Amino acid sequence: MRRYRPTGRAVAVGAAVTERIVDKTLVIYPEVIKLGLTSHGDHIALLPKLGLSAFGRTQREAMAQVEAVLHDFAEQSYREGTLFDRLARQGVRWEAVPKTEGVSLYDQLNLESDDDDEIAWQHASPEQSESIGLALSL
Amino acid sequence: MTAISKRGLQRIYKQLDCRTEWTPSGNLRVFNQDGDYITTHAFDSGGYLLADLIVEAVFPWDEPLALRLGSAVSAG
Repeated sequence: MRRYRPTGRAVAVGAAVTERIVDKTLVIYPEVIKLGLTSHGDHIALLPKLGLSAFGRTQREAMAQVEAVLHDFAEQSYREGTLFDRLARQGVRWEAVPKTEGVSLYDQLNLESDDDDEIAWQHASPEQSESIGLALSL
Repeated sequence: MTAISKRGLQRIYKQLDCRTEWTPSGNLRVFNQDGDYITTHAFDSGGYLLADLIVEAVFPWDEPLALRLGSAVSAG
């Protein structure tokens, strides 16, 4: 039987999706992503307010997968013109910021970690956290 | 707690008259009976997802469907 157990760690995350039409990046924050482990050793990341979950071999991969799922969510919802309504309905705070061509949000925010198994967001300075809404909640 | 396989979940959605499609990365995209996009499910490395997570993913967007889904996954 498969089981998923919490690791006891949680972190607020700015999940980004590319907003193609207005050429902006949609930053959703501060959403708490819950992290856990499956009985098979997969890392799991949950975004409860949007009902999203994703898996990866590491926490970083799981969070990247969350972003991929969120991207799909945004693309599908945007076609229907309901994305922003949906986010608001779920109480998800969001902001559209100018997109820097060819630079990932991770790089833009300088949140990269050297440790593959660490959460990139843990490296945000208090100033960054305040300015971009990435408050840590460990 | 019940875990549902990728194909099993697709079959359940079919029973509920919901359209599904696979994304290039192997996730399952779900549309309700009205054709509205609901969510995209990702699966663990074994291709499974817990029933609770499936229902929780649908609940924010289509509560009646989530309830029917809950019954369907419980029934196997």
